Amino acid sequence: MRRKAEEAAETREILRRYGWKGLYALASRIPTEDIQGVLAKADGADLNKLTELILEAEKEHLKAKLLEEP
Amino acid sequence: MSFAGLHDAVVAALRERGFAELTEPQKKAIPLILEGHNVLIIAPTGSGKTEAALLPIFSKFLELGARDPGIYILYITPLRALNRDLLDRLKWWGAKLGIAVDVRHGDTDAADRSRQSRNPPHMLITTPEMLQAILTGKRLLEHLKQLRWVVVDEVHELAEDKRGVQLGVTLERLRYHVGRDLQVVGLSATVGSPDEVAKFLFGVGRPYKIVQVNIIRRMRLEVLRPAPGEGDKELAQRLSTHDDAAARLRSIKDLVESHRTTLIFVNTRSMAELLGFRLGQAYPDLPISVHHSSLSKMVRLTVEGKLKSGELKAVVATSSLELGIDIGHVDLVIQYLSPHQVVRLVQRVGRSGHRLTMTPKGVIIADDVNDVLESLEIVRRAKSGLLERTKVPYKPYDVLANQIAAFLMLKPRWRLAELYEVIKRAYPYRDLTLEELKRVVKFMGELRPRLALYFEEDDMVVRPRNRGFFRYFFETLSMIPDERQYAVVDSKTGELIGTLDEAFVAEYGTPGVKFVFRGRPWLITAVDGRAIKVVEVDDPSGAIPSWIGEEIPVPFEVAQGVGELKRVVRGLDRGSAVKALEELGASEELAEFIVDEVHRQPPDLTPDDKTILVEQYTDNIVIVHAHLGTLANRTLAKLLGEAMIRDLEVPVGFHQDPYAIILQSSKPLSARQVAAALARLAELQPVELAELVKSALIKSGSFKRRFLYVAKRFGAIDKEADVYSVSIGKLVEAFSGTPVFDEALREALEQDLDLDSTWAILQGIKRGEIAVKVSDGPTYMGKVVYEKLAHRLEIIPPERLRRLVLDSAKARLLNTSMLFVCASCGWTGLVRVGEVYEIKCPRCGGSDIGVIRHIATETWRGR
Repeated sequence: MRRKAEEAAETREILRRYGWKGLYALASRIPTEDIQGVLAKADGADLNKLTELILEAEKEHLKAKLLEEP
Repeated sequence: MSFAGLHDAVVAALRERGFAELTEPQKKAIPLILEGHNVLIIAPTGSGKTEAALLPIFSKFLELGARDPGIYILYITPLRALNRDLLDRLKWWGAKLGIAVDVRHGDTDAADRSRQSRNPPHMLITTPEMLQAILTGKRLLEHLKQLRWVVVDEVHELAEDKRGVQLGVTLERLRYHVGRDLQVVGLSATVGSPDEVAKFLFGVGRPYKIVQVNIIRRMRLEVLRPAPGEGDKELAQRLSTHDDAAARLRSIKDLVESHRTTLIFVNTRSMAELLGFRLGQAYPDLPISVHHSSLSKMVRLTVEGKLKSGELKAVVATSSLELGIDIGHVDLVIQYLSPHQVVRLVQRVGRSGHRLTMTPKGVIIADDVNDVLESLEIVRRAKSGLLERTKVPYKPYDVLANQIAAFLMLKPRWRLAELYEVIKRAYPYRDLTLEELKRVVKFMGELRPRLALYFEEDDMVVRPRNRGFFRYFFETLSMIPDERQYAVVDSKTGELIGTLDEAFVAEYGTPGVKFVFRGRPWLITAVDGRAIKVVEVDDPSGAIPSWIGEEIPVPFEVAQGVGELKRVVRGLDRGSAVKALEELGASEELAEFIVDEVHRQPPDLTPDDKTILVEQYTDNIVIVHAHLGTLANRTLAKLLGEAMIRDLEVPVGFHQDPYAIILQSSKPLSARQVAAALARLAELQPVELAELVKSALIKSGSFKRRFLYVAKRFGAIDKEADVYSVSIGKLVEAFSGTPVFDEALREALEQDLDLDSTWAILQGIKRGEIAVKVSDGPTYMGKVVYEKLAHRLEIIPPERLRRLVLDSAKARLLNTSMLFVCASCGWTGLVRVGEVYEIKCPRCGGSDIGVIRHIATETWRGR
């Protein structure tokens, strides 16, 4: 329960700062703590560019997850 | 309508629920269950099977007047997330009748589990895997002493795999523990061998009754091959695809628009994605979505909900929608390309017209001549009731080891003879010998940590006192292997291209292998831990599709039927051939297409059920046209490959489909050499043939993958071991002659090959009943086979691929639903990103909103 409350607070901050773009990024597989970094790069970007940046970040995250030593 | 025999309280609840009449399976099954019989109910989803089983059981429970606490009814379902509608229905009945109903599965939290142990429900709903764990809990075991009735849902899903074998033995263990026989009721979709399924469910020597609703008799089945028109050419240009593919899309759209709700079944996940995407591109206003097992539970639930509410008109799905999920009224099932198996067609089309008074309706949309003929043959076989036989795994040793450990969890010391008597009552182990059981027990004692101790002088099997034993038991509650994911990385750029399943990597993940992935051909340059390093190549020839393992095999009988149809068409004049095909249900247009295609091949070189054609396609490619189906052609391909290496020292690679084997070598390869090898194979004795197959099989990746999973189920290797952290080759060698090796071989022979049919064909060649003809040059059929392989690879140009990736990512993100939480008023609700215009609470209008990104299905109550 506490974890969920923390998550709601963290995402509230993202939605407050970035609005709909923040919501769009939250729908991705990028960890919440990395989302602000991606959104900072997407300043002024259109939906295609934002999607590209998200895809790139998702790949990096997946790569790190898959290739980390078990 | 009379509800004779049912308890008064059940009848009153039926009336309250508004049931004026019982459905057909209910009318037939209720009296039999009330009489105490074991009953297998075979009827389509939505026909009231669950109530057919439970109403008489509830009646009997009420009549029993049970006062002692305990679990009296077990409801076992293979679906991990039980459909909420079913759960709500069962709880409604429970509440009305004063029967406590509860669920226990992997996601049930500790507090609920503890509550169930203290206050057991009268009826417990659980999965086969959770039942393994339940049978180790002291309190729950005590509560289960009251058990009288067991209902097993979706039996057809269990009968053919190791999960089912595990459940079969578990039911025997349960009977042993309870000390009395249980009344068992099974619920199943249409199956090929009802008696085989019944024996599997009820065990050896127990009487049973089968209640079957013949759904096939009422089915309306049609095969279509839409011919491209003017509009289709335009669409094809717009989507940069073939005219034929555009015509198929248009045909699907027309069918979807003229029906209320349509399910569109495809055979692989990648095809579901591709077709869903193409339909979305072609007809953006048509409300269609995609449903398959790789999508998250949340996405699948959302799609199911929208289909039920009518928000979606159609869903493109794989077998993920075959199971009994309640998706409301479906009035049409489209099968995109041949369903490959009769039973699959029947189960899929059976999802439409569920009210039983209605007629299930199915349309197969086929492409080339083999696909069309295969679809017609499958429809013919369905109408004649010729469904594929259900194959229950035959005494698998790995499940046996797992269950010996489970018996030792129940009681730490067993006489081997007593254990043998109990296990042998489970149908898969009906022929198990005492020697075989002893061999497996002894082998478990040789492992480190020991998984069983056997004392020959006392004939006792004893539970070892080590932590490793318990760890093994709890790690192998599930017979479903954990599939790992491997990263595919571009070796030049270091970019991650995607992920591959362990199954594919185990089989093909070696440097030098070319495969198709995400619409492009790639060459493996190195395998580095969990990363598959690749470079992109231009030439897709010889590349393996990355979805290869998912394909549904075409049975020998169906492929032979296609050959027979070709032979009949070839032997008749045009008019008579068209008429014969029309009698089979083909339209005039379809019949003419088939006749034209068959006649394009020279008459003396037409492959069919009595003729194998060996064709010189190029200098180093030979195509063997043989109508033997997927598994027998794979067997023949392996045999030919092995024979070519042994006799001619020519290494040969191969691809095969149900109708042809493409042999390719780096050196010149002649059709006559291949035909001669085929003739030599026909001369072999059965033992020699089996040896040759075995020798080819154990070198294959598929055997190594099966070996790895079997060894894990045995506890012979660590559950965490993956295909690259261990040298499977060395392991296979080390375990040669053990039950692990024997089981991997048995499983591979049973699942991956069809030695019996291959042997029958080779005997036919030897006796001269099957002709082997040679063509020294390429033929029309060769071109069809070769192009189909290239077409199957679905190569997409790089620029279009980039757009496709971007568009599908956008669709995914916009379709994602998250739980909104308003910090001002506490409102929560599930919201889809694409439907949000303003980040505002719909209740209080506040903008202090947060989201929960991933929520467990069970806690989500809204739709």
